[in-house]
Amino acid sequence: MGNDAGSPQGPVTCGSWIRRPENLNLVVLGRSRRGNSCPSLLEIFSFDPKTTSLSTCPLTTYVLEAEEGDPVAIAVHPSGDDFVCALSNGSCKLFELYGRETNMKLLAKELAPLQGIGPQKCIAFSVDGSKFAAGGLDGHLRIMEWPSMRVILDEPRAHKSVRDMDFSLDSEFLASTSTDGSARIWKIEDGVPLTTLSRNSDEKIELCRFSMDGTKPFLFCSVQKGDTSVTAVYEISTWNKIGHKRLIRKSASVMSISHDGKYLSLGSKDGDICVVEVKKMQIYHYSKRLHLGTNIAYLEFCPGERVLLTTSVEWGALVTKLTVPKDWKEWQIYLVLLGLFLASAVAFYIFFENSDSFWNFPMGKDQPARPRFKPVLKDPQSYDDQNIWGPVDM
Amino acid sequence: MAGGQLGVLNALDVAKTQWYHFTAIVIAGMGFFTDAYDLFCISLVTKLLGRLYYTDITNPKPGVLPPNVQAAVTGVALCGTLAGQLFFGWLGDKLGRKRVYGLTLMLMVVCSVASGLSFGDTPKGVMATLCFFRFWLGFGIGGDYPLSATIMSEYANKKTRGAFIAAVFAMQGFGILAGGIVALIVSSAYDHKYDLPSYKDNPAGSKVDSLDYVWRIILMFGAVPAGLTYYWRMKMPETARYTALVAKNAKQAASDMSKVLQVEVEAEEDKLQHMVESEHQKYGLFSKEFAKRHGLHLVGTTVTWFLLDIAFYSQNLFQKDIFSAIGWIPPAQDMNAIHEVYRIARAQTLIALCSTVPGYWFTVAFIDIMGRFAIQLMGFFFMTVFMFALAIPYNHWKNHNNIGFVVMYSFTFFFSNFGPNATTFVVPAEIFPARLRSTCHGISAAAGKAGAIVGAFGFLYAAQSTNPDKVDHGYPTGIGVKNSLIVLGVINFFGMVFTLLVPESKGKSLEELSGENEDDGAEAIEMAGSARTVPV
Repeated sequence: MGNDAGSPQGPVTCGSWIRRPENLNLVVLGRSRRGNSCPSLLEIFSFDPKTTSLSTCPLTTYVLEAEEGDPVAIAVHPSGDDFVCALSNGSCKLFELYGRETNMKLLAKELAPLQGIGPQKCIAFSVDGSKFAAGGLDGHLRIMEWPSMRVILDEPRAHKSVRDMDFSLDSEFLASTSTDGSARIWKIEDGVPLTTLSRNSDEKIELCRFSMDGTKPFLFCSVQKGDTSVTAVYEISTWNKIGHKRLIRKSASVMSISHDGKYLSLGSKDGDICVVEVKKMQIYHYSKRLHLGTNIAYLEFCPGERVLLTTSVEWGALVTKLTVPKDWKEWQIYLVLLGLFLASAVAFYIFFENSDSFWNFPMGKDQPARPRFKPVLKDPQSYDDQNIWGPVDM
Repeated sequence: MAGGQLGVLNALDVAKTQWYHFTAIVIAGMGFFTDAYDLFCISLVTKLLGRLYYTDITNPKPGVLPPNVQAAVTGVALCGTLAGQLFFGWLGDKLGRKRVYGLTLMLMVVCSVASGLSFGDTPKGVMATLCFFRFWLGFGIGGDYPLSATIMSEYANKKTRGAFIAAVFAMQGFGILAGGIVALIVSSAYDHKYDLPSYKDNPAGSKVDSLDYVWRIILMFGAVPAGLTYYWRMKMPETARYTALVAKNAKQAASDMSKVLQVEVEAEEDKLQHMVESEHQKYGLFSKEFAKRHGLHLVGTTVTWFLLDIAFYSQNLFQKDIFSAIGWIPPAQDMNAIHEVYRIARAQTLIALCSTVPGYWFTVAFIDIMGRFAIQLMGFFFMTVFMFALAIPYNHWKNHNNIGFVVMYSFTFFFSNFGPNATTFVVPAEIFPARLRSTCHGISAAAGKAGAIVGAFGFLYAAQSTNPDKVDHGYPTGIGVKNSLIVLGVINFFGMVFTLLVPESKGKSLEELSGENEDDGAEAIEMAGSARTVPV
């Protein structure tokens, strides 16, 4: 999907991957209103990993009413069955995905606790899908249990204005950043603030993502230092900064972590993206001006492929295949194992054919081929039958 | 976790109140259950194999497997285990361990079933096929064993970690028990079906052709727990944990990350950096620094695991031969084929029920009270004592009191499991620096498997009588059961000696890294522990 200029559709404001059963990945895009002829939309597209492209026609479309406003942010539940969309009129709606790929429908539902709460900058589900958080433009932070919507945290003055937030892998912490450059860590189970991340006076913490690799308990933050954007790493057992590194050349606008935690990606305000291997913090992929001269609004790794989804208002949604080392595929593992199996089978067979002396049968090479397979339901008289031949053997 | 606060009841309460944790214990433990079943059920059927395929009815004794075939059938799975550990360890590093887990379980299911099948009906074909698939079953077990340990560390919560890991490991005892029970059921069923004379009365009539199914059923049943494990594992939700925090690897992870970042020079950061550097200098496995700091520890964990498995596997795989030698199981010619399976299974099941399984659960109860060092030392000590108590007055036990022998023999199993069998597994995962921990644990585990192979192959020959007339067909003379037990006693004694090289890890490994002061406390404990062991 390319340039939207001239098309009758509104600009893409947000999007997300939806992981479906059987390794199927869909994409949901939110479009804002353009004039009077193009209403606000939510569209579902299928993703073809072979061609690394989205389907040309949406599987289903949901038209938002004029009073509902435009979609601002989308959070997909890890189950892949539903997602929440934050709207510009200050409410959030739940959308449920029904049917198969050929017959897909979107069903909208109201979420009472999220009605009229004001525009939300960020919404997110925890990794296990049991928590939901919403960060508002007014700095109001909410954390709720999902799907019961029981309130865990309701902090009207968490920040000046929420900039970004993320759940930790184990759903124990929520990190949130503010437009004034501060960042706070919240203890989710207790619903209380835990700490504030340390920073220098000239630093502004803008973006935050927890590591998705269980062996690396870190929080990655994009920090603006004057005109330079660097990525800082905090250790989550002490919340001390370990270090920082400059990865993307322009100011970072969005950050994402791959689902297996191996790669970290940054998108810039000039439309660049870079992909970094977390273990060595080395850049493995850099696309310059992927969205030419436009702020990248959204960026996310595909759940099962090394593919990035990026959106901007000017260029719409793009999927980019990453030039990173390929992972082992399942079938390659099975092939290696099958090869080992067959090789050892050959070795065993050669041994079998040349190993008469090894087995050391008491009657020599002409050991009778006993026991032969016979029906299990044999008559108990069978041993009497053997007795008949006993004297002959003697 | 304060010492003594966590007992078995508390662990069970936690398990009951949180169904999820109970499910995690069963699923993680099923791996060990399956491993133990598959590895040890072969000892129940080797006598039967000898009778079915190696009997010469002109000989007054029923057939037994020749030494090389017995060694091959019994030990080939252990060789496969060693190969599998290396292969899946490499593969797990490449792919992440969870993706490999299903693969090992499927391999175990397939090869358990295949172990009961044969290509052709010639005895040679049957035995060769059995050895082949036993090798690959061991290969899958080798992959499953460390992965079960990984899943344990991922799903354990911080409070019950010690008891949780020990409880999971205790499932090994239930696996051995299950093997005996299955053999008892199958052999009892066949005994009711056929009323066979003993070999002495009627050599040809003491077995029927369909007895072939007995050993096949026992081996193939191993696919059931493996399949159940696979099913439950796939159904279990992916629980995300920062395993580095659970396993106290956060500092190592931070240190690794700091090497690829620019580190800001600040007072606090400098202190943290200094702490990280001082604790984890850039020494490798083969450096002088490692040898100075942890060389003795690695020798201790490796040798103790090696020596334990010589005794553990030789006892488990050949206890039926010991029981025959002391007369608890009658001579082979006094039984028919099915009676022999039944008596062996009954004897092994009694030992497992009264000694092995209780030993595991004593470890669960006491490992965080007594500590690993004391349990291992005590276990090796009592194994040594009971081995010598059996061996030195061996003739008395044999001629006058074989029940007394069995009771004493049971205690060696009890203190094997309430002792080094569990602690040799736990300790290498705790005492080495995080960066080298998996490597050192792998080295120790490989040494354990090497000990298992020595035990499986060595005892078979050594336990043969010094009298040529009493030796089984095809075997050279050995040193006799009495001297074999003395050798095992000496091995256990050396295990006790080398335990002194291993530091106590009870206190430091379970403390949480929650602050600077506690860090200092943990460091002090670690230094005290190191100081205590170095002069030895």
